[in-house]
Amino acid sequence: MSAFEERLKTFMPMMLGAEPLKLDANGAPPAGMDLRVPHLLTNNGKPCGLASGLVASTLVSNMESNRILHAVGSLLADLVEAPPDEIPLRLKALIEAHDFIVRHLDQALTATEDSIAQMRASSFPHTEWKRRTH
Amino acid sequence: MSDARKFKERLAGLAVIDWQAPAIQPGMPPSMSPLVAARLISVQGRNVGILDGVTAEHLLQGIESTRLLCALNDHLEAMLRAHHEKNPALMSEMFRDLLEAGRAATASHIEKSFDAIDRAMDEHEVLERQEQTH
Repeated sequence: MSAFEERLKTFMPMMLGAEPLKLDANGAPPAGMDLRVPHLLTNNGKPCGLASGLVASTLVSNMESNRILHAVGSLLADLVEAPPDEIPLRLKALIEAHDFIVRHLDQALTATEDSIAQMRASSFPHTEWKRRTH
Repeated sequence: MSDARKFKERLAGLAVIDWQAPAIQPGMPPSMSPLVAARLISVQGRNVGILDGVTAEHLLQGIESTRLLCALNDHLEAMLRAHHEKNPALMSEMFRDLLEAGRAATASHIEKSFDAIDRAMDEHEVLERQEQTH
């Protein structure tokens, strides 16, 4: 495990969950909302929100960005304070962090792009609800 | 095309997500138990989610973290390029810039995001206490 990954482990992620939401018997979403691909969000098992798939996936991947950014910020702070002989070692950790950041950004952006495509392909729940009940 | 440039293009492609500051939601969706300090999340004027205050703040701060990570990644990539091209003057200039501007931007964002999330958590506690006394 790289020095950056070791450091990242010290920044605990929030236990955020996102799962597909069960709509009511008529398939109705809450009034006034455009909830395509609806998800129920939970924090430590407790409901903390109701959101479209786009918001749910953006929330989860961006919270991971928060955690990684905190680890990078900590590495940069160490580099500033490091004595000259320790700089190459700290710099190595930062270079390892670069690969980690690239992988995370690719996953985060892919998740958001997929959610946008999924939202565009899905029917607006209100329309679907009206079609089924009128 | 470098990874950093790809990320920049992909971020531009996601301009459809025009996050607006969440507004206070006057009513709760009927299918959800009340959310503490609920915020309405809108994308391009469409209401796409309702989150409790703390989760909404995590979302907004996380989006900024992803943007900042993209910028840091861009800088690190350019620094590594200078290293591979055996350009120590450029490498050292970029390193200095990373330690000054990069670190300052990261530290400032982290501080602001902790403050914003702390405020949201305080508000959450106050509202929860008020709810219990009623």
